Amino acid sequence: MGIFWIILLSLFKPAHDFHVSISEAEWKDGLLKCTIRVFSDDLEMSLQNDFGADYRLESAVKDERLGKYILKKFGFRVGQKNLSGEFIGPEIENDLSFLYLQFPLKEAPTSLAVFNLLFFDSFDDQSNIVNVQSHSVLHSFRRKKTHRY
Amino acid sequence: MYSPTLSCIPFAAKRHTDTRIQIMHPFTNYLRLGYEHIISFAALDHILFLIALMAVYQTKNWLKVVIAVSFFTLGHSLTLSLGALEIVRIDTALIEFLIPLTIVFTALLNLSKFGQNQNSKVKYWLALIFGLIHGLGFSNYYDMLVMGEGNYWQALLPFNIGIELAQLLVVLIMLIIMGIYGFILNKRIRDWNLFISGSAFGLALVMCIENWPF
Repeated sequence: MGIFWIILLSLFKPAHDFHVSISEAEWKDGLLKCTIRVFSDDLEMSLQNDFGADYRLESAVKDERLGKYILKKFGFRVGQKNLSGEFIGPEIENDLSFLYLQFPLKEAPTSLAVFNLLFFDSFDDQSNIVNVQSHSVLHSFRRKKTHRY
Repeated sequence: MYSPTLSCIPFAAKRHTDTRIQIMHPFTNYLRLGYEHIISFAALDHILFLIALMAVYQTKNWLKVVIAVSFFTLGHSLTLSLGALEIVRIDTALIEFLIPLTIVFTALLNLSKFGQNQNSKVKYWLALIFGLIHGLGFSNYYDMLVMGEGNYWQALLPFNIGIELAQLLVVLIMLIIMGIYGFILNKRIRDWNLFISGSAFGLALVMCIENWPF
């Protein structure tokens, strides 16, 4: 019975967990430029899962592994070809962090596929929205209902 | 000017079999985000408040329930939308305490004659004020939703509408349960109210103590 109450109460968190990332992408002058907006605590927690529990977000600014980590989870594909991306750097603030990427692409794409698996390892209710400029939007999300944190 | 028609193919779905990727209009995206936020039980205190708020109403007064819930939505949409203005940045610890306190207060009010008056318009205004407090709990959502290319009409409005729709769904389900309780089982709404308000009071009181800010 006690466990029931603990589980029930753990669901009530007035500061709601809101696991979302929102990205904006725009093609300009041979580059597909992209900004990923994430919650800083989500980013830190996910990096800790991969790089160890002591990992601090402050050290991510100079850490080359961050770019590799992001590019593994986020990318574009034109036709049958995955675009090779370049991680420009992060901008880390208290609440939100911004991750900047660019993908060289000579011509403006007429069709584009997006993948964004950021934080899917960390949160079952993670939603990732990618807005591609030109009035089109791609919304990717994953939900696993079998268990919750 | 660059304006290709973009068609997006989900191609990462292979690796993670339960990954669903959907392409939709931004409005629909943000609407779903708000809707799912409530439905996925991430905002269970919202639902608890709604259930406590509507506990005194008979099913035939469903319209009054919808009005009260809409006032609540209006309240928290206001504070969420004002999130950019620093005036409403209140200490998170205090908000986390105040939110369950609104549930405690609502549950206690349900025990009074005043609270049980189904025609009272004061309850709408209370729902609005409590909604303002609940909206403050969303404070960190504002920047995420609105920064960059997004703006109020693109992101926040559909997000708020999504929350309202989800809440109305909760209301609908509760009205059906209360209808079954009242009409089919032929029980009195007063007993229902005591049961719901008591449960909500207990849960919310523990939340208040856990989030004691002083």
